[in-house]
Amino acid sequence: MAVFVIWLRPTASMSAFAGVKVNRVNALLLQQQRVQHRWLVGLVLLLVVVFVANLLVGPVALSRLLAGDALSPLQQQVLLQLRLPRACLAMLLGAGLAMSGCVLQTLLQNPLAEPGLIGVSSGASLAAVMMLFLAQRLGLILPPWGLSIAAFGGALLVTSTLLFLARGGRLDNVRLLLLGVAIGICSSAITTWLLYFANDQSLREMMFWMMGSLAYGQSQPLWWWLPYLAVIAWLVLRRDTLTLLQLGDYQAQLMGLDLRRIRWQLVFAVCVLSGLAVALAGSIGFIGLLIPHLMRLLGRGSARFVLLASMLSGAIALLLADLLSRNLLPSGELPVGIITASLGAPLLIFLLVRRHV
Amino acid sequence: MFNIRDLSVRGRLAPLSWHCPQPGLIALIGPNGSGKSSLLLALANLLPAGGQVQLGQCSLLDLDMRSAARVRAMLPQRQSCLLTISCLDVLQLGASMLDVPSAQVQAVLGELVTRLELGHLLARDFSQLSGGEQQRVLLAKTLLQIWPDLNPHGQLLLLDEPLAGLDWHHQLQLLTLLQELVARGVMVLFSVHDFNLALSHADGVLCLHEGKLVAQGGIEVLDEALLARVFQIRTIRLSDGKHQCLVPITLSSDTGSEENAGDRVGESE
Repeated sequence: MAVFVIWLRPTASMSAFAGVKVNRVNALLLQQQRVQHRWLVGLVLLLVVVFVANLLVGPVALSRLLAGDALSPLQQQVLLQLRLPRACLAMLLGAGLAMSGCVLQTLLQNPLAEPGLIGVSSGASLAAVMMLFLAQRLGLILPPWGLSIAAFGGALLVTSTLLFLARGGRLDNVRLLLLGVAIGICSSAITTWLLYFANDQSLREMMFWMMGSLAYGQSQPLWWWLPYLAVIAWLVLRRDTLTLLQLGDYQAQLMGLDLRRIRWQLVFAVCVLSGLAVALAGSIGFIGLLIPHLMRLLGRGSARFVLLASMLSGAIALLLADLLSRNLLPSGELPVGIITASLGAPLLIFLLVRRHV
Repeated sequence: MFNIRDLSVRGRLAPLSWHCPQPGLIALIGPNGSGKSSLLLALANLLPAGGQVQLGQCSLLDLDMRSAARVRAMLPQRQSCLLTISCLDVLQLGASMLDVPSAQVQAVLGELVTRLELGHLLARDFSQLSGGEQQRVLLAKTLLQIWPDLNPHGQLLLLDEPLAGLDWHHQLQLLTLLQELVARGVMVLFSVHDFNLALSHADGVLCLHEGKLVAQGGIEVLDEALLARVFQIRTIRLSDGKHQCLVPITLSSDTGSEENAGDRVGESE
């Protein structure tokens, strides 16, 4: 209440009639904050529910855990060694992919920007496919971390190329985007060549990788996730910077932002997030594109809210997609990328038709 | 107070110097492509520039972006915004770099919203507004950044065609607000294509042509001869004794007179 009264207190130079509008500004701000807080709390609760569902639902049912019953050794093993790491990974990757999309859309002032658009995901996929192709040709057996290392190396290579070509701020946002698209097309072209010459077994493995699956990443040691967590935390801390970028480059600089430095920090952060995501789970589309748009509709666009809400919603979306991918088929699992693309594409079309994007 | 010495932008602006001892509302005129936007962007540290710009005690071009944002504000030429963002969020950005209590920001924001008649737009999506409405919202955001109650260090306001897209009512409303800002010690430099608004409200004129400063001084500088020389147009001046306006009649070339062709722009200050 005290804050409310202070907000209404006029300054010395204010005209007498300004109080009415101060009240309106204040009321709108309060209403906006209230709506956004409610959404964030709702998303956190939903995340908890989906996370728990992800742990309990599957071919080995663990629902007795809810009743307080003890689990058998097999069930404990399934819970702790398979589902828990996988659910954590889904949460982390979903959050990171959605945040990457949110950052890129704001940074490039392009509503259709997503991590795949700057070529990093394609580069990572190409490196992984190339590794599979070489292993098949040379008759090598890849260790579980081999593909992830290759994918991350590919992402790093594309990022370094981007940073090198644009050194000294020589590329503006539009050219950066075009360069990313060009690198992505090159990577896709080489990947297609490799797919064409691959044998049947490799082809299946490559396609599975390209469609994305959390099965790859869940076996990676915990330190693989640390850079991912660090970048997510850094982005959350820099959410005010993102707010300044909402109206474009000039406006951000006029508000005091050192654009050249922060632009490359953000691009690097996105590259780390999307590169590691491909390294850990293959190519997962649509989360980075769709989630920020949906959150913008909820929060009326405040970048601070959109970033936090995208983080939570991305995690929820990938957890749900993983839940579906593991349970839709009676035996085996679908690539999670198929689920996100199958659900995401119609939703995007709906948003475009309704002119929300 | 405001001293520009040999300010130049490579390929766009020849070295120019200008001194203004006290705050004023200065109209920046010139044909399209004459360097008006380049001058404003250079003064805002958004274009690499040579020379010196002294604003009060500080050397403007030597400031980092954060420090510069405290002493000057600028409205660039209109840019599109494709992302969904509410007008209230746009307005709040104006005070984002100021270390003032939010209560104070709300108070000044309320005042500006009232003065610029933006109350009905606050909750709307900025990207869906008309061009003129977007311009008014951005103007309010820019004014918030420099408003003396919030920012005692603010000394310079740069506006690139702030009146473009505004109807007469909102044009006069804005000019009145700018005059008030000048009275409170802020230097205002605005580019404009409507000479009559400059005549009726500005304290001084800077005229650019082909990247050179070709005329400067009080409002009396803006006369038929200058317009003929720089814009190659013939104008007549109408006056009721209290107010005056310039009316364009023909292009200079239409009159068949060749005298203007020879002396298009000869001098540089």
